[in-house]
Amino acid sequence: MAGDILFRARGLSKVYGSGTAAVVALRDVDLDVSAGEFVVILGPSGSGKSTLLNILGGLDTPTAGDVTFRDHVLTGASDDELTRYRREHVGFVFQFYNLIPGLTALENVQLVTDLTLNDPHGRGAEDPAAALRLVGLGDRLDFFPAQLSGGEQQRVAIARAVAKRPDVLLCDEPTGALDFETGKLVLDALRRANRDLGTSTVVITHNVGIAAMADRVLRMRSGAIVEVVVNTAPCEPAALSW
Amino acid sequence: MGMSARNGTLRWWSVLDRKAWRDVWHQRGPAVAIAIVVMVGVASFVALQSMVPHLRGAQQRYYSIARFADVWVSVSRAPDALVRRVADIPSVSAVETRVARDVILEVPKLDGPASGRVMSYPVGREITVNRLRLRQGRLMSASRADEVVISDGFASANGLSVGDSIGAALNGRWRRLHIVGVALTPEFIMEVKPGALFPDNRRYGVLWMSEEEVQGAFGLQDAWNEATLTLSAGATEAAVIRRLDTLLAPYGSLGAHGRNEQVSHRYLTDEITQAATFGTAAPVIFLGVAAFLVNLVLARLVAAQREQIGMMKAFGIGNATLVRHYASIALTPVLIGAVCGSALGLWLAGLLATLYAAYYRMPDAAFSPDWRTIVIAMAVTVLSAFVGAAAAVRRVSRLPAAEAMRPETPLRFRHGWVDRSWFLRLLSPTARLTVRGVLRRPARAGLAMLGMSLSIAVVMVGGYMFDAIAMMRDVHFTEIQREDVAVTFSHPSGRDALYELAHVSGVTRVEPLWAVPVALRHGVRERRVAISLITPDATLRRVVGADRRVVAAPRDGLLMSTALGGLLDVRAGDSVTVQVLTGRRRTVQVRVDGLVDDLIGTNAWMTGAQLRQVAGGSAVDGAALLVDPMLRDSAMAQLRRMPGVAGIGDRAAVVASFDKVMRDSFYVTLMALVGFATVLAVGVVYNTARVALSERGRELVSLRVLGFTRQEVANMLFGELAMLGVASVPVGLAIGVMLCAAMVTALSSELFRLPLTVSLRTCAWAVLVLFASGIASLWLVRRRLDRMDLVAVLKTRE
Repeated sequence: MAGDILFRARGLSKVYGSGTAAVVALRDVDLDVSAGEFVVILGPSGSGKSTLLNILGGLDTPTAGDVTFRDHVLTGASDDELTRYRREHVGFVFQFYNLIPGLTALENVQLVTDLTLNDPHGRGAEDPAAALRLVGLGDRLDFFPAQLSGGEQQRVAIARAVAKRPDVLLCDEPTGALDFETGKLVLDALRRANRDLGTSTVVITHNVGIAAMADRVLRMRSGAIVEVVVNTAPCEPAALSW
Repeated sequence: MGMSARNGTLRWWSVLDRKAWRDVWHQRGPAVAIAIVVMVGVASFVALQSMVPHLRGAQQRYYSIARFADVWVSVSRAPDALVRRVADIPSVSAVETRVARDVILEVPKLDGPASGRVMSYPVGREITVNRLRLRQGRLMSASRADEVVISDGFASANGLSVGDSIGAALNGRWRRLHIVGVALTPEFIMEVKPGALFPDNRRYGVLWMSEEEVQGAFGLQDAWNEATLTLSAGATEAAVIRRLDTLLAPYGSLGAHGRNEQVSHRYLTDEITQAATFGTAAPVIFLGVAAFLVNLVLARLVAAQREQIGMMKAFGIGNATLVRHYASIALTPVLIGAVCGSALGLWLAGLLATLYAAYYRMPDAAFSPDWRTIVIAMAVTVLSAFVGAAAAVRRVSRLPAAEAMRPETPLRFRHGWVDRSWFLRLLSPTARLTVRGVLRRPARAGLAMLGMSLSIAVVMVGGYMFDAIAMMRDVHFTEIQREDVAVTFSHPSGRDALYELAHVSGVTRVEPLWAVPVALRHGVRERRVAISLITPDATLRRVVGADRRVVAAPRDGLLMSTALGGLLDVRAGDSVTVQVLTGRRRTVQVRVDGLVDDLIGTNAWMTGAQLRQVAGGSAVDGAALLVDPMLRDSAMAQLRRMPGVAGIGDRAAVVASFDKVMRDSFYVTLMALVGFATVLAVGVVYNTARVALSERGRELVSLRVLGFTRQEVANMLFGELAMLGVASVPVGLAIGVMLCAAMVTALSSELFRLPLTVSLRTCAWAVLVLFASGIASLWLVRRRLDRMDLVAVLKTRE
């Protein structure tokens, strides 16, 4: 599925703090992500995978190095430019779903699609109900988050992320708070969004079992990418086990 | 802060106490807001409530030292020998008699006429009722006829002191009087000219001259026209007044009265009552709002610390310790506010005491703190803090350890009737969120709205006072009194006095004034008033109601103020007994033709024909004049020199000094109330927004991650408050009007009735203050929202 290069990162470093308190989170990382690719980044906590994801998502800036998203240079962009970038191009899925409790499943998705619809630069959005059907929640449209299970809430979050047709879906431990079976349902939803909509997807996890569904697996340790494995035959989420 | 027992030793500064301090420090924004609201409440309580014992104490001490009279009576002329018979009335402990008359004064450097009351003083003898207290100089000596002692308020307003001199027309003869002393009298703690709306110390004062001089000047040798009496303890005032009235009726008595009809006493006593009323109302509002804020912030803290509470319980920290812990967190800002408020209140009380001392002429008005007030303020404040903290603290003690360690279930939004309504379906998701947020916590939303409404109401009440006074001023000085100059005669005169006035060059119109003192009776009720002349074609003095409509003269019978009708229990068509208190003192029955809903005084009116019939003769006792502006000065000079003229009122001067007093106090009062309202609005809006940020910050920051701009996210957070703010406008205006109506009831008296009129300007100020302080508060909270870490929210659960 490899196509145009979406992300190009060169010599990324990130140091938190300074002097003796300095913590190096990333050291000299190079990375390319192609359009439509499904990348899994594996690593223990503290390996720098979240930092890398945050920099790709325009939430954090590297101490050194450059990142480009297509022809946008993310390094050095202003806060407003990064907000616009996230708004137009990126979908996020969080470990703890982060839904708005006061809005139903449908409204949580609508909130984001309205944003895209009102945006003159946007490319239009999915129908919110269709997005929810895509993740298997066609019968839960009018449920509030508190009325949904954890897996269902995470799938609402995925529907919310994909409904605005982002170029890339960035997922931080999307199954971290879920049990095995539920986790597989969520991964299935991610896979479908990737296949059916062609959305590039980057998943960071410490769950090795997820790696089997990726097009490419990056392994990180101590702020560096230590191994890259290209998966020629990714398996279906239903076949995963961990 | 609590203590903890460990190994039998007490430690005053336990780890929990440290946590309490840090929690307070962490919540310092809301804590400071609570402390300020409490501070203002306590300061207003301490400042106003300590004025009550201060003023009452000063009043009582002065009354007792100066032997303030219990009963007053005026007659037309009574011989000195009659004093013995007055003193013989049972329960009368002392009597003083005097000659007292209104005079026109000429004060150096004062533009326009002034008037005063000259009173005789027995030289060489200390009087036993209403003793003078010299502030400056000495009493007059027997050898010098032109020596005068003047009242303190008049002296300081005009910059007069011993050695200066003033002119006075004693019975039409101008005299130059030398000031030898400046004195205080308990009868004029407030130097208000009878019939005036407010004290004008520059244009009205009291003068004391030797008895011999005054008696001689007014042709009352060996006679008097006023008596003042003190009564012995346990005396029945009414019985003494009845005996006096019987005794003095043949001498032209206008009827004796007690302190309750003494103007200065009434003003001061009403002021003390008002201080007590406002000193109760203001703290109730502020401490009520403080209790709400304590509840809001503490409930949020407890919810955010559920897991900590569960952990502490799991480790065996007792309920009582935890309750004490959270109560101490709530109490810390409240106590800080109360201590600062007490200090501020005492300082303000000192300031108020100085202001009162300038306004009310009393000796010995040094302010000393009333510690009982402070203790009460502290107790009430702590109580209101406990009321505020109760619900949250109860939740702490009821929380089972195991449940507490699980995260709080998200707000359980369910489908309610609103979700099914067509109305909600029309709204955007953001707007729906706002509506649901309000409906989800109706009590909190309601209280927050009430708090904002109170901010509006507080400004309205303050602005209303000025609106009401402005309307009274307009009605009184542009609808009722329309003359340039009002002249009062020393004695009722014939109509030829009017022709004389008409011949003064510059006078272009003359209308007669006449007021006949009478006692009105209806059933067992009796009231002494004056019946004034109402002339059908009058243009300078008219009868005008609160609705600004000019009342037509009755064809026959009596018109009276609705207030007087209420006092006499009289309705239109009823018949009242009128006893004339002058001349031949006739008693007649008169039908009440109608009641007039007017604003000032308890008045009665009759047409000239009717009044002549009742009074048994024709007279005028003054006139309203129009004067050609070009000839004004010469006309005034001529009027001043006319014998028989006892007073000249310059309407423009009176209005000007009235307006100046109002302007000066308007801005001070308005600024104080704007400050009060700002504290309320900021306290409520800031803390509600902070709590909302704490509850929803995480979900909102995740929207930032999803690409929402700062402004869009802030709109979602503040939408609820904006909606409540808008909703609080009509509620606040309604509460404001109700508070104003309560003030109408509380402050209206026989002297005046406040009209219930609130200007657009007042309403606009009230709304503006709420919105300005609300926006400022939201700006503070928005800065916190903007600074929230986008990365942290991805990882943390709460």
